[in-house]
Amino acid sequence: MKNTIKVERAKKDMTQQDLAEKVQVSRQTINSIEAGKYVPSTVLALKISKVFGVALEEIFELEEND
Amino acid sequence: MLSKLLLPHYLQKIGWLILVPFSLLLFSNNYFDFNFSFLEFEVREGGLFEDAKENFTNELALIGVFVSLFLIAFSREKEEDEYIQKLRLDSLLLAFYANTFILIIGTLVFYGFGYLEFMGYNMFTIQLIFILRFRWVLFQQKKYVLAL
Repeated sequence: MKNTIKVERAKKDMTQQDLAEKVQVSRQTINSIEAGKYVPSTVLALKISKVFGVALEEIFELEEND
Repeated sequence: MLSKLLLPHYLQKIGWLILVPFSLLLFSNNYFDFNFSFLEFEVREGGLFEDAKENFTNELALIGVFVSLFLIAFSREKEEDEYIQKLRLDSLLLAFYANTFILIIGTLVFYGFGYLEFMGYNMFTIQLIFILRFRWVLFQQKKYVLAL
């Protein structure tokens, strides 16, 4: 699964720490999601899209091998 | 959504603190026959081949090490979240795999003379491998995140 969290963060001028605090996870979690190493739960994905104020599909996108 | 079965975070520190003295006790009991005299109790009627007294230093040390490893392994992280829990689960699975592998190798190699001692050490492999793997990945992650 691909995601555009890094881009969305840059648009909002947020650090990984800022986003982590807003969605109540550790900074490592945000880091591994951005790196594509961890697929967040639906709850966390929804929280992230809420913070950015964009639709879920705009942030997370399925890849061919998913 | 997070598992509620974990212990509070402060128990992790206590676990590390008591691990050191109990491991030392276990080591000195095993290899230097060190025993606390106040842990000697009369547990049975003495006979020709059996002493009436039994010293419980060994039991105390073993249980101490088990408890401390348990506290270290299963207390919550400061920031426990779903990713940490996934790491936890992965590490547990890896520890079980490794334990089975070591068990098979050990049975092939040590069966007979040293088997009891091997099994004695093997009791700790699940906890130890779990803790090492889990801590290692967390440590690597932290290092990486701090470098950003």
